Amino acid sequence: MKCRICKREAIEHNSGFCLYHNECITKIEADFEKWQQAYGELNWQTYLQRLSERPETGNWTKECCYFLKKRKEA
Amino acid sequence: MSLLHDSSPYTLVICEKPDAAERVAEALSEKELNITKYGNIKIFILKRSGRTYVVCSAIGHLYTVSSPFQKRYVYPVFDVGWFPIHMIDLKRKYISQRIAIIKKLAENADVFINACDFDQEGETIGFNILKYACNEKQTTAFRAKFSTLTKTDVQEAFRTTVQGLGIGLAKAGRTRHIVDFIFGINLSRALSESFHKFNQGYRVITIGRVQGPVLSYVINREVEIRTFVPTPFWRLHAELAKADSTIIAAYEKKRVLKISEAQNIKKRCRGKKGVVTKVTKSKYNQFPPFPLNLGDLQKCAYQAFGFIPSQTLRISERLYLNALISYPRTSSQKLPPSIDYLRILKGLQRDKVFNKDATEVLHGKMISNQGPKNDPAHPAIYPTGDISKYVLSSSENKLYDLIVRRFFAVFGEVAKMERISVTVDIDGYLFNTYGKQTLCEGWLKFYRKYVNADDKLILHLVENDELSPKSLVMEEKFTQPPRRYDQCSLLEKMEQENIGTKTTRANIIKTLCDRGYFSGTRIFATDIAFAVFDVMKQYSPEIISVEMTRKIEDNLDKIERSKMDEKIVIHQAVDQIMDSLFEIKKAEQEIGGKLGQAVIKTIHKQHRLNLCPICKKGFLIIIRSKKTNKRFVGCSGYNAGCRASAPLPQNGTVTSTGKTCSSCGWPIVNIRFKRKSTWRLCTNTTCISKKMVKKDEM
Repeated sequence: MKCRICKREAIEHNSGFCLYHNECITKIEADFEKWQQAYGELNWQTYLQRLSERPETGNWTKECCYFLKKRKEA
Repeated sequence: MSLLHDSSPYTLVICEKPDAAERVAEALSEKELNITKYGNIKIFILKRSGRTYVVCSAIGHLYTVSSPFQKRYVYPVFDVGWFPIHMIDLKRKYISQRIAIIKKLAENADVFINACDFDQEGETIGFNILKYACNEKQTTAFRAKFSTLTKTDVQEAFRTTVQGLGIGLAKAGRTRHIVDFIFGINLSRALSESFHKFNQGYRVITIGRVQGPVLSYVINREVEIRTFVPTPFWRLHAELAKADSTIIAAYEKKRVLKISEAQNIKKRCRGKKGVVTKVTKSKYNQFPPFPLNLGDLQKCAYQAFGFIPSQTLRISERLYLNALISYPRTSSQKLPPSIDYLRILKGLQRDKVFNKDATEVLHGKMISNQGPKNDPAHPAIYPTGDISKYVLSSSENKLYDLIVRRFFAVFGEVAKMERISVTVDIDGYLFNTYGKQTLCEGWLKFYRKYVNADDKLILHLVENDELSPKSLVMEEKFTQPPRRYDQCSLLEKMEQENIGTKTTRANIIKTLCDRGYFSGTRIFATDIAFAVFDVMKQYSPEIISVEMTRKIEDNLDKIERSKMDEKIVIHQAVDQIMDSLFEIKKAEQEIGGKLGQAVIKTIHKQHRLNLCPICKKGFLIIIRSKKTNKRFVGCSGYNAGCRASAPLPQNGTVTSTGKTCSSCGWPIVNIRFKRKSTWRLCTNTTCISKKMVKKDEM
């Protein structure tokens, strides 16, 4: 099975992401709570949008943000 | 037939490099020095205490480890031996003449002195020459050990030569070469062949015992950066005034994690007076730095001048060969009094640039600060005090200045500093500011230009002083990803992890850059690097682990101290690599595919410039025409009808700057030429900015 973002080999126990993108997804999900606490009110889509706009955000994390945004929109 | 006119026996001295041979011969010669030339090779003949000395030199390694099988696709290779370099590397045919001359000179010599640099590499060079060119004289030869090429040091070294000294070093050095060859040749051939079989063309894909862990450091850092998720926090700064002077104080919590909390503080403090609640003054000492070893020198030179480590090594070797500094390939941070501080400082006094500082050190206690690291072979790097016989280049001058000033600094007094911390209360919230000033300059007066030790002065405040508010700023900040390695910090990491040697570290990093694994001054890992790393992780995880290479380093140390047999280490290496090669061979097709894709991706990225300013859909890329073999810039959307194109200069290396021209929106590229000059130009030939320049010229 290939990664849904980069076409690398997906890791077995995951729902279709490679090791690196899987790590990003885990981090994005884990840090959502920190962002919510920081800004008070923040929905998932705004979080992804803001995260993908930050220059500090890693490239793979940004790819995951775009993927997650599109999945939600679809 | 003898190479010399006189057929009486003589002492043959073997040096590592021609410049060193000349220095040694000059130092040993009591009367005149005869120089005989065979082509480009100089032989120095001299008389000393009634005996004839013949000084000859290698030119680095004359022998190398290789396999008798010359075909580059054959692996595994375990049948290895030492061969003259010209037999392996056809570009270095000139080595054959040098070996032939040494062999001829060895025939009539009855005493042999190895005067190569006293470290693993130098010992290996000398050992091999004595073994292969001088008919097995490696155990009976004498060893001259010196750390500088000054007359007194060389003469002293030749007065106290020892038989058999350094055999352990030579054994360790030779084993290192063999083990590295076994790892490097087999894994690199396995990877290159996997690529070659399933892709078009040939590309050298290498990995080695030390390259593996270094690659792993960079990849791990790259993964951390690419998977980084920043989190927000806020910082608050208050600008407060007393009379006409102002201070900026930061809120005591460096990170306020909630915007509501930060806004609340801002609201409460805005427009309120501040009261100084605490003024603390604390004195502290800044101790002199340690004497320089090679790693420290490479770090300092990178920070001060931007020299990459391999460049610093090259320059320092030139300074050593001109007897201006001691042997630079050392890990010691100690300067023993036996190097004669007084003589060195008096020598430096003769140089008008250093006269004042040298005099000041001479009037001091002259006790050197010593670092923790030791190297039994050589002391830390120090200036010899000799005056240069030739004009130093700009880079040599810079490095020499750094070494001399550091030498002065290690003799300096402790610098005494004062830190002033001020706490201001604004409506119950505490804000801090601090300043520092030098009370006693100490060693800093010699070395200030190479350290960041500027004073930070703040206005004089006492407790209960009232400060009027000027502004209160709330800044939104985000956590930052870890810094990318640069060549210097990567070298530091290798040093910390004790992988590679002080001599090889810089070259290993350079090799990885040359292979296209790393790019940029701040190191980025390319797709090829990721592909090689992934393959190694899957099929030979030991090669990218630090543990394996560190274990081998430990074993090499044991060989050096004659506590381990070199055969054991070589056999262990062979056993380790066999399993990996078997796995790689089995998965050759998959590996070849992965590497092929990565190479294509990396090349595409290197050739891709910016978004096409004409169609705004495709990307401008660097293309080489199959018809004319000339390169130009064209749009990737050519098939979709975009005809944007522009010629490029045909010489030099083109790299993207990632920036676009402010006048026309076309990409700006750097073109670097061999003589280090660089052009920065807009790729659009009809760009308005160029027309304006032409008009101005007219």
